Amino acid sequence: MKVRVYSSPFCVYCKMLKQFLEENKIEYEEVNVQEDQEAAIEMIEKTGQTGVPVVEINGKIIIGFDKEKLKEALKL
Amino acid sequence: MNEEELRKISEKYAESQGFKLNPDENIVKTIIKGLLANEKKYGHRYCPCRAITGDKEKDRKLICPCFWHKMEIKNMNRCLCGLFVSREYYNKNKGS
Repeated sequence: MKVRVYSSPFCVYCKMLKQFLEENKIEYEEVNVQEDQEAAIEMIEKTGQTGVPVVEINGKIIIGFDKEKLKEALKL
Repeated sequence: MNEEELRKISEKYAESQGFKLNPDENIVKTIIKGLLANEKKYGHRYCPCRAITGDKEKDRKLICPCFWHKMEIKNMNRCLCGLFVSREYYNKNKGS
């Protein structure tokens, strides 16, 4: 399962999302959209908006920290 | 500008617009730190919860209070990063 998290260092909801993934032993790749401008543009193009967190799970995009959608996408 | 000064400015702005700062002190402190870190790095207090493209014209919308904050407070009772919340949200969550 490929999980990519678009986040930023001072985002509280990003921290909550990463904590949720870690508690459920889900490995993920993290991308900082405040440092990495290419990744920022990529995320905006994929989602049509600028906010984080955004998580991409096997190509499925979830915007924001939404536990129910995460559980469904991760089959938890 | 230090954290306390920015907090006071943010609080005054919120009150003037009919909303409040988040009653969760952890969120407010983290966002204030993020705003000041972005100001130091980029010269602007970009929202710490938004992607920065490097295009100054496009990124202007990210400067706090950001372009979307009022719509977000109206639709989900808080702005995206959680710094500003509706009075309803504040009253429901204060002291929790």
